[in-house]
Amino acid sequence: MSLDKKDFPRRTLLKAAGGGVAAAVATPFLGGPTMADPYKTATFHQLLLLSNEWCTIINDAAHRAADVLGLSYKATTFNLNDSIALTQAQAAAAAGERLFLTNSADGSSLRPISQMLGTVGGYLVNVGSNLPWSSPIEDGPAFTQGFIARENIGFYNSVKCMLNQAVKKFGPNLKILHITAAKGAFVDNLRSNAVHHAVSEFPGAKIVGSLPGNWNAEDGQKATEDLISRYGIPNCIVAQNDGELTGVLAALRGLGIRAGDQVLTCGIDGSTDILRAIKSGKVEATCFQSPAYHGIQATARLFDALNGYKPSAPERFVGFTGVLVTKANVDGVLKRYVDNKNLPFDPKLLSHVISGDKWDPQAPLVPIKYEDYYASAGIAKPAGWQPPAAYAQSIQDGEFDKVTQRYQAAYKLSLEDFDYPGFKG
Amino acid sequence: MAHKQTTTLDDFGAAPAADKRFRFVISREQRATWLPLVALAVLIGYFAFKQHAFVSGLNITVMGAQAGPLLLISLGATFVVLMGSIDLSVAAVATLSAALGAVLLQTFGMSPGLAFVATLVLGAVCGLVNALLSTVLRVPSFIATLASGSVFTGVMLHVLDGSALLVDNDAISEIANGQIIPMIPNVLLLAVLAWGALAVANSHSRFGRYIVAIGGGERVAQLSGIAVTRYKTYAFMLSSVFAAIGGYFLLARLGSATPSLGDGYLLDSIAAIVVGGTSLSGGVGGASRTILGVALITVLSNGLNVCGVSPFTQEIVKGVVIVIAVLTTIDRVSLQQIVK
Repeated sequence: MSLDKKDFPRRTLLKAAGGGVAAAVATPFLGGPTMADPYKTATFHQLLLLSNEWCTIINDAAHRAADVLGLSYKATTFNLNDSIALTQAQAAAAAGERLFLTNSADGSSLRPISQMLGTVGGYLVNVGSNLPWSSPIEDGPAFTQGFIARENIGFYNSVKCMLNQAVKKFGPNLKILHITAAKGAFVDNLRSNAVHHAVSEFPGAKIVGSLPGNWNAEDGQKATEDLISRYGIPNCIVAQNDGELTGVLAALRGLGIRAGDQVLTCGIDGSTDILRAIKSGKVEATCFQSPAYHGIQATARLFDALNGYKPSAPERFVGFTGVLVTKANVDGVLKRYVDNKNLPFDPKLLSHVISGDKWDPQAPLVPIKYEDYYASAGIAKPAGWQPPAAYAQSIQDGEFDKVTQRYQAAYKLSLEDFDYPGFKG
Repeated sequence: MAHKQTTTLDDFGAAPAADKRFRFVISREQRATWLPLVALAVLIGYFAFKQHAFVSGLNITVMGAQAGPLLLISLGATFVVLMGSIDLSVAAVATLSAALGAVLLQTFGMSPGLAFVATLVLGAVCGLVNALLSTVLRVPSFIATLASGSVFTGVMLHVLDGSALLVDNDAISEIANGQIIPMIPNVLLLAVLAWGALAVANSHSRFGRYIVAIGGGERVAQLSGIAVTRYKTYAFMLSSVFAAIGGYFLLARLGSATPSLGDGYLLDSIAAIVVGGTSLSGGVGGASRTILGVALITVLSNGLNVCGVSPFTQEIVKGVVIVIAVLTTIDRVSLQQIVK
């Protein structure tokens, strides 16, 4: 980790500092953004799917964080098609844009985008899927960070929580239905493995049937109806995301089956309607993975990259585990993350450049070991696969562990501090 | 209007001898009516044999609930196909209707009845837009409705702000899922009633006969004194109104409006119309047959799921069955020889 001061010539710094003082003096009178401007700015471009709640929240949070950090902002929707994402990134780069946040559908656009950005001096953060056994390091220095939610842990926690409740309610022999996602998708594999892992810890529990819900409520509803037609009413239904879980609840309602009573359900992501369904007792658990954090953290990383922060190898692939939400804490989650007009995280505190030693990840952020992460999706390591040299070196010389410890020590504002009023951005 | 709905070279005694060799014993009209029924019976028999749960009361109710919105969306669009055009905006109109309904119900607290009326008005407006593009501006319906569908999708995303909107009201679910007649979900009951009305209108009203005439030959219909522009406008409006009704019932069934609510309904509705026996070139078929196509699509989709067929294999099977169904019902020879 280093802040490369070569990017700040003295004259530029003085000029910027002068501008910063002027802005600081003028801001209270003008009511403008509170960010002084001693930093480089650029246009920040998001490539997202702007027709689902997850991406809409990422988009909104990143937009507001960009405002706080003095970055101008644009967004396009790529319809979960990485070839469209690449085309849009190329067009945006040609127009002079340099900072890109992607929510890649399958990881296929990441290398070409980062290579293109490498030639024009831009930066990329991805908060979506990655090609199995790939790494941001191999894709080039422009790919400043791959960010993941540790779903193998978060979803495992959610399913296990529901199964514990189900055993208390129905006894040890449980009949489970599993609404999977688009077959073959990396994240589907990852989440399915987490489900099987949790179920394996309950000897009497068995997944009797599964069908894909394709990440959306309509297909989740049909899959649930068809599975119940074949297997009868189960004790539990696991949905691969909260969008599908919305469909599961609709199917149960349509069939006159009482969710939360006759059938226990769980999901992952923490969509608003599912959080409210937990509050009303219809859903047992979900794992809230804060899309806002995805957006704000990524914006801060791009801002830092633009301003000379050089992440170490372990910092280029990081992730966090979300909050397990049950009826016991759902009010707090709604208070801080849903019914709150402020940003639930402080973008400035997330910036190494601005906050220096006071940097706080505000979530249990950790560097990710490639072998552990990809293996947890059940995808076999390709023959001859070798980890990137810089990453292997960081494991060998202990830097990986030091970064992990440093992140843990820096983590102050807890993800579960539900009294945090938020950042006015 | 005579039952012969297309004019072919056969009528002038010019059909090639080679074509005649391939004529089936039964006529095209009979094939279009009976073969989807035979295909449906074969599928039901196969799925029932493979998995007894397929014919359980619960699954029949489930299939009814799944078929209802598709039948509503396909019924109106049948008239557009029947007149030789196509409406590629039905799924977008259905989703926009669901979005509008959700906002009116949840945000403005409107009653379900008033919200339903509002979606009808929305459907009529969308249909009028399509009709204006197609008849006044003379944009081919394929392009006109593709473009308008994109516009409607954009409006829907603005209405929903890109997110799902939950309608926190169990009463709305009863509209679609309730059962006035046991085992028949309301959405299916309404769709079947609408099917009956439109099937009668198709064959016994001036509107229905004129639509067939336009599909058989627009120029001839115009020279015969039919107000082609007016009746095409009616057909586009009917298509969008029924798409909007379908969307409202999709909302009622799911209990929330999502931007992806109508995904899949465009292809399914066109497949249902064509598999039912309505020719994409117009002039042949009608609303009475669309119910067969909807039943076939629904049984196929549900049966494969209930029998536990792999999702990858399901895609192959669906594609093959639809092609076979269409090949056995449409008259490919006359398609090549149609004089329009």
